[in-house]
Amino acid sequence: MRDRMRALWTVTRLAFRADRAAAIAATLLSLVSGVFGTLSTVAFARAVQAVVAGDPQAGLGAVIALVVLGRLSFTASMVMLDLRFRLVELVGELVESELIDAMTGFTGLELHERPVHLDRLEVLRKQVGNLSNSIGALMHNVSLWTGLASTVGVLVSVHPLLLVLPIAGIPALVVTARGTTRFEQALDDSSEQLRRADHLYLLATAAGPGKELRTFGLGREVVARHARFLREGYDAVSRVQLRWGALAGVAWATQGLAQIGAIAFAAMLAIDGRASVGDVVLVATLVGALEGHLQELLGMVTWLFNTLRAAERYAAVVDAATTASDELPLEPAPVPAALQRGIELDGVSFRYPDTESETLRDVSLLLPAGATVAVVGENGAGKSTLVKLLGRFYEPTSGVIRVDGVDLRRFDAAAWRGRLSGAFQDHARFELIAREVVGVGDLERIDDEPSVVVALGRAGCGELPERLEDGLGTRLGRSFDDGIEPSGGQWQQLALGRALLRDQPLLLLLDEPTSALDPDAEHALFEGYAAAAREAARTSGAITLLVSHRFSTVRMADLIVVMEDGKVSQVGSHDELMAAGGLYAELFTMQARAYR
Amino acid sequence: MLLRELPRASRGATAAVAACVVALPALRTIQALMTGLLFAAIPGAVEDGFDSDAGRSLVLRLALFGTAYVLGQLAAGLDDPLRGILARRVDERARERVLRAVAAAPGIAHLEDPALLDLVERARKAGPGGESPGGAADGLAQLTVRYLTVATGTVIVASFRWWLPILLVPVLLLAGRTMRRHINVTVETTMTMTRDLRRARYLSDLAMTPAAAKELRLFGLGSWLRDRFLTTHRAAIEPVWRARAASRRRLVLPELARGVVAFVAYGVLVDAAVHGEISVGRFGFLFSAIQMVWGLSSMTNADVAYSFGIRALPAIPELEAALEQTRLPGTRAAGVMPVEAVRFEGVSFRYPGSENAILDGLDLELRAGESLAVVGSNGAGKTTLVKLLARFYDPTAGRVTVDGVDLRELDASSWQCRVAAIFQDFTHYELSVAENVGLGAPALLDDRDALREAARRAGALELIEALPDGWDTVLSRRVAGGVELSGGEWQRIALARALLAVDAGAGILVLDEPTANLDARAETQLYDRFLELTAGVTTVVISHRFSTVRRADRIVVLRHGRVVESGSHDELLALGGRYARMFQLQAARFDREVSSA
Repeated sequence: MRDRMRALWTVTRLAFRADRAAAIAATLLSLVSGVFGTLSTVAFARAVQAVVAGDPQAGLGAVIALVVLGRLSFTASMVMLDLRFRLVELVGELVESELIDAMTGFTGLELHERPVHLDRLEVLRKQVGNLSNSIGALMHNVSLWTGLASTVGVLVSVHPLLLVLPIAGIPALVVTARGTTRFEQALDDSSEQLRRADHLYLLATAAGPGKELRTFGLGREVVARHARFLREGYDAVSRVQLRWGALAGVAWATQGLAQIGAIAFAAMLAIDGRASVGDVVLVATLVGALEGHLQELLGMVTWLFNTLRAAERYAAVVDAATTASDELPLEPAPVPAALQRGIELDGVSFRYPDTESETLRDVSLLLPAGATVAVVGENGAGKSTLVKLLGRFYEPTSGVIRVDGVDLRRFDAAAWRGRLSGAFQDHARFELIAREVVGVGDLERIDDEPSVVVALGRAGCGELPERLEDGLGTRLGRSFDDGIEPSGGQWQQLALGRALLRDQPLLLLLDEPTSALDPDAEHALFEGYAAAAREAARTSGAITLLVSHRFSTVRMADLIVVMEDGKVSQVGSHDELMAAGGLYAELFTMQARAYR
Repeated sequence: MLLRELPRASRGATAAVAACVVALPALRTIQALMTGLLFAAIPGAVEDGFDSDAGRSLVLRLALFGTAYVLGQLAAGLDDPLRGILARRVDERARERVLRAVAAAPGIAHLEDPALLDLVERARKAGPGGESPGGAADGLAQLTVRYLTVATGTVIVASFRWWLPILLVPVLLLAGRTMRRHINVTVETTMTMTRDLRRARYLSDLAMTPAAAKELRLFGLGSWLRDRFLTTHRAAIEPVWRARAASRRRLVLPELARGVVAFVAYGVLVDAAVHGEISVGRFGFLFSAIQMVWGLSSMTNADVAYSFGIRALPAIPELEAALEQTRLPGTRAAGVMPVEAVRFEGVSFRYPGSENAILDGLDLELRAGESLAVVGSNGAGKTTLVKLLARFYDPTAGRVTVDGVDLRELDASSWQCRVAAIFQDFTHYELSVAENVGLGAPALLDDRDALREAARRAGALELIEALPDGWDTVLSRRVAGGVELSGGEWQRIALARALLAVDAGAGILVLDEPTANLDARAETQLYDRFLELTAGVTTVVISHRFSTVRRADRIVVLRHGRVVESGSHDELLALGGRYARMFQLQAARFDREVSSA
């Protein structure tokens, strides 16, 4: 309940933050418009009384009241609708922008690699509509409840005992609410099936997988599986919905008996002379109005409920992100302008959250200032994890990383990253203007075309802009109809250009950055980049850390680190390692055989 | 069109919803009638007490009113889930039709055409709130209830004053239309804005998907991304605001007209009742009837669900028609082709809508049973060559023949099944390992021995058997108990899939960069087995790695969309051309050790 109240609070605040004036106006209007409905009912009862009494004057008054109230109520609802549209748009925008902040605000990658969190985020994003409509749901509920309250008020004014009437509706409300919970639960339980169906739908309608579906003749198979997953998931939901719908029908019907009782009771009062004929008509009319209110509540409870669930998810996502960025730095230290000694790993071990085994085990290593260090090893040896720790995407489980003797954790993460750069095998495909795709590597120069050209030159692909239709102004990516899709190799070259845009990083992380490039392009990269690296090494003691499977490249490094099973097994220059005759010599010779 | 879809999606659900659709307005009318009768009985009962005729009549009418009420509640309780069921069935069918149509089209040009992909997306959900064809069915049922109620009310009102509906209906229709139009402004503009909105959406996606997480942090892009999202979204939404403000002004006049007719209608009714022309009971009944007519100008979520969702529906036949157009000619079955050779004869190719010729007069022969390596720098046309070989596209000029028969004469699907291919962007199925391998040949899906054999040859057996649930392990972290494989491991699984297809009888094996993600040892193991894997199988391998390439029977070098060199490894080295230069460039870096090893 507390969580729910907090969620309600979050949602309300969102609307007020998105557009205070609109939110206030909408709330006031919904308070008023609920009362309009009840007043209309009273006006109708007056009209009936006028008819019974045969009083034309009273009749005219009642009609005028009816018409004016009806129009006022409608105008209010139209204005409210527009306000709601606006709030939906603005709250949606606000939620998205806060989610962007939340998901980019924490230092590490942990949340990005935690399935529970990603699931929650995915569901939440599908429900942003619900969330941004939250103020609408709230307002509608407010107007409904004010309507309900005023109706009840009028009933009680006839006789206090009529308070039983709305109370008799409580079991029905409870059944409805429970039905909604069960329905949501069923949706959750089916989400795996539905997600699998979605996965297949996307596979079958995307170009890449489309190629395989065709050569393996899988069309029919995928269509059948998609249908099966969808049916299984939906059927489970439908069963629950039907069962609880029927129960709710029974509950509401039972509640209706109380309403019949109320009319009979009012008639009895009138017979006893304790109420007028008009009161009986009023009660009979209000019973109908009450039915309307409660009927609408059926839908509104569901709506509000969905909103609250989305709000709870939202709060959970933001909380998780906030917690993830909560870190107590040791005594802060400035990032040095240049490296003197280098970066030292001292007994560093690392285990991914929720896993049993250590990916890195007691790694001690010095990356000397100014050196190019290559890391080699087989898949799963821990190479990429090492890169992630140096980029502070994760903190070591034990042990310390020191930069010129200073604990890495003492640096402000953003300041440290300001002096890093890097390219990864699983690089991002930013679907932006080509210039920006490289330019985001150094935001201050995002529109600085000459710098971008230089960076691409360093990446060995200075000719890339010429191959694009509008040069650096070409929009890349096929998510939009005016973009062109670069090849896998071109995306990788762009990622490299991005990494090499920063002039003086202290540490350049290259994690298999050339796997999709042909040897020519790779050669050009290292030629183009070597000069820049040497310059950086001389002036700022910059270190380049390169992970690669290509030993022809690896051997050029000043220092080669061989990793096996999470441990450093060998360190040395190419010649030293070849002479030592361990894993390195074995793998090198293996690959060299191709060129014998 | 929607009406025809409903029984096809589910006869039972359609019948049940139809029953509710008829019952609800009927019950509503009966309730209105009973309300009137109830009112009529009240004064008499109050006068004479319960124990009089008037009193007994009140009790009876109360009981009838109660019965109608209870039935109405039960119908309403069932109506909602039944509509839900129908909506889901309609969605199932819509999605299935899309998938069938897409899967039946043999080419893949359509899957790279944003306009067509837009249709695919629209068929699933048309509105910003994910309104689907099913939503339209749900909305339609609710709207039918509304309009049946309106019709009943109109008849009842006409029985009182024939001219009253003539006054009411046009005004209410007009008011309703203006209002729905006003709401459609938001709907419409949101839809035409899709590109800008999508761009905004893409930017927030970037922040939330793991793919870019590392670089967003490394380059400190968080707040830049948020600001960029905000400006993009604002640019998309501000025109909507302007259009809405303009449309709001058009609402005023119809609203005033509605006030006038409301005054006339209620005025006439009250006047007649006050002067005793109609009874109190009839007054109550007619009053309810006027309110029923009023539904004509109402607007609920059903309108939105219907008006958005209904747009999804035409997308399906439109898609089917567009895909019908992409149908490639040819009817001959591919049988066991190729027995002799596949030949590219002066083949040129441009991607639709592009001016760059990717292939430009390419001649190439792939002999049955031989392995052919294709090398060339990025963008030389290697992958495109394979796409034409598998007939995902037909050449813009020239022709591809198999055993002398133009590929265009063959049934495309039949030919495609002859080709077992693993592409660079091979598919990661979020299914079990067994299925990830087995989907190479659906017929062998349950043949564990066949799967094991293919996995063994791909070097994937050990890794599969080490998985927590062995062959039944689901390869997705998003599924409970599932695991995610590394790039190199995935690649071996994909390779096993292709090899299974070959075992099942595919005639050509295509490997597009099969070793890109493998480490040195795995790569070596693979090329050591290359000859075993490809023995007797017509194979095309695209690779940057000479370790793989040199094992092929024949190598072609592609440059600017043509074959510039062709021959065995030794022949090409002797030729001293482009291949030799690329090879030596690599070899030089290993050179010292090679000579001393």
